[in-house]
Amino acid sequence: MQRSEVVRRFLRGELLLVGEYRSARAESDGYVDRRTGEALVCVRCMYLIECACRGTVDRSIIYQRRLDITDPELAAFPYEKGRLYVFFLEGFKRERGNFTGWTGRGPEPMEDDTEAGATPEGVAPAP
Amino acid sequence: MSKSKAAFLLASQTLGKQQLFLWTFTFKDLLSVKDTRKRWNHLLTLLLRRWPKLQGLRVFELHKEHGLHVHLLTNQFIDVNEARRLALQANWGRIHVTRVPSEHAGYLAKYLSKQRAECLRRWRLWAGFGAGWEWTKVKDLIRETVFSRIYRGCKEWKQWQGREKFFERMALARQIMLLTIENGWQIGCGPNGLPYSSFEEEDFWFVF
Repeated sequence: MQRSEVVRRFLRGELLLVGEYRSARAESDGYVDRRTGEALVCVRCMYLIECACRGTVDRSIIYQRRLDITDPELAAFPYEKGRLYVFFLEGFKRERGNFTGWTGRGPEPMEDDTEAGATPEGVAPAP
Repeated sequence: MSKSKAAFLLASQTLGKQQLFLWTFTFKDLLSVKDTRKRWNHLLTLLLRRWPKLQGLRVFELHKEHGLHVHLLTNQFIDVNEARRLALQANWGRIHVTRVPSEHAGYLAKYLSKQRAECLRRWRLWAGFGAGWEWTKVKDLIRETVFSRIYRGCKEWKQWQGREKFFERMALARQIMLLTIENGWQIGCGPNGLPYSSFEEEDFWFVF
């Protein structure tokens, strides 16, 4: 996603978080009835990112519930460590300085406008 | 998903192994929530007296225009005219009933997703009723997540008891969770699959 598109969406009021992707993991998340042994389980992906939510670089976790798969092993994370990604948040909380967010979809890589063939900021467009 | 909602879904799955009926009981007039609860207790007593084998789940819903009303999920066919007569006796108004397929047993859980109104604080928004079946209760549930498993691992390692230094404990468990995600550690273990007790606490903060 181009930088200008991120800014446009942000100005429209969308809740976006840009952070450097560190790692991700999928887990089975749910509740188990200890009496009957029945369980309510879904797959939840956790993205570990570095961003500046507290003014300094800090690590944050973004959760994504995956209803399309039932096995955490099937979750793929084709993301590049150290690259900036845009997360489309549905909600977040900051508790004792720790940022935790929730998203309904996977992140999108952040691209500079120049990468996408557009004119860089502050430079007049080509005639 | 809240623990209460999860317990309700499991309870409705237990109930939903049989045929189900979804009932809605409302009032003609707007009543206070306390009065509604009293009338519900009265109506439930009458229903169980008439149909002693009736089993089900009830959910309170605070409607923004019509006040508090009650939804029921039952597993037994009961005569609606008779139920209406009992409802009138307990000063209830309109009754609506429909059959629901057992796979839709969790439908009423949507009312539990609503934000809880201030007047319903500490209320049981849902409850089971009827003899002869055990519905899942919130206390029966345990949460299984990466964090909870790491926390349990830390608790075992540090021999935590009571609630002393709660926030320090949470911070340590969170730090280990971040390291577990970043380094792909096995859950409940540190580097090279070794238990947490093989390391010093400082290692998790400054070394790894």
